[in-house]
Amino acid sequence: MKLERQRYILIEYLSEQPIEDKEILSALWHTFTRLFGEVNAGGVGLYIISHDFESKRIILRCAHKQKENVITAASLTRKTFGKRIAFCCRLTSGTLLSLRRKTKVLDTPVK
Amino acid sequence: MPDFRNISATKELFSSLPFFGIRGCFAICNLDTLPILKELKPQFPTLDIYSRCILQPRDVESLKRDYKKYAGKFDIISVQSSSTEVLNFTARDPRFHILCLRSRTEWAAFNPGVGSLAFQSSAGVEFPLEFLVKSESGNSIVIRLCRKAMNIAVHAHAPILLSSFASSKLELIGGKEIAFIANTIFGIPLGIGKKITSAFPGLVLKKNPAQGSRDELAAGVRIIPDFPEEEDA
Repeated sequence: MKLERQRYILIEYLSEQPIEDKEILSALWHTFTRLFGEVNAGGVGLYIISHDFESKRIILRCAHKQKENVITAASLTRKTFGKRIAFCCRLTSGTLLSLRRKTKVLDTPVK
Repeated sequence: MPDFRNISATKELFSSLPFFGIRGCFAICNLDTLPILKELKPQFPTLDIYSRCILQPRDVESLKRDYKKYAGKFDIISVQSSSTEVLNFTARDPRFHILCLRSRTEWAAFNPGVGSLAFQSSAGVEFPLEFLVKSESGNSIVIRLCRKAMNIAVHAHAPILLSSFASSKLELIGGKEIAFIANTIFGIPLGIGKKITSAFPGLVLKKNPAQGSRDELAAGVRIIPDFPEEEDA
């Protein structure tokens, strides 16, 4: 059996208060299940790989077939445990290494 | 829909547009809040902010009456109505830029005829996404009806617009995300989805660019310079 391919998504967020990983993941699961149902949620394999509290950036991992659905769910997530939040997808990649490389390019100021 | 009573929130909303990859917006205002928008506009020189009003007429006569009040003051004039007759008139008339379809009754009034007219006169067909963000459950029937109206617009090749109707920075939806929402929830191909936030708003703006000022000439009108009368031989 072939292994399922993964996608890594770099997401930035805006929030008024600091938000924990658990809270973000729970809000994303809730929206994903509400929009795409239990069957799709079963195959999404959604995890937070890293979370930078300073720059408000998270790297999510999901199944490559569910990438569009994960981005949709993230963009429609507006609340987690009563705290307001708004996500914006920045980059997607097939490997963590190339995502980090692309992130460096993203952070380089344009001359 | 910026809340102009809370100026600081509106400023925050405009300043966070680049975070979501948005370069311009159609800010909804009315005759009272238009001067506030005009004051705020120069503070954001990198953004293209267009003033926009929404007319909510009951019939064609009241639409014409309302238009007289708003003409020449706003960059974009949009019409929200659940009457097919009004939608037909709006789609055909070059003075109106956008058909705003926000609720079930308005989606039901939108038919292939209106879609075809919207395509011919490049009037935008707008579907606000606030119902997806605000309501927690019981969305399936609303999504179904909205999807049906959207499919009509796609088949008629009308320029579709999806908007967040945000009143604060935490209600905004990015351009890239709108393409994905259109694709995954409403079944619109990604190619058209990408045009929703790029080509289609430009098309709507080009429709009647002279709307913002009465001094500018409308499309198809030109002034012939004075020429000396020919003397009789």
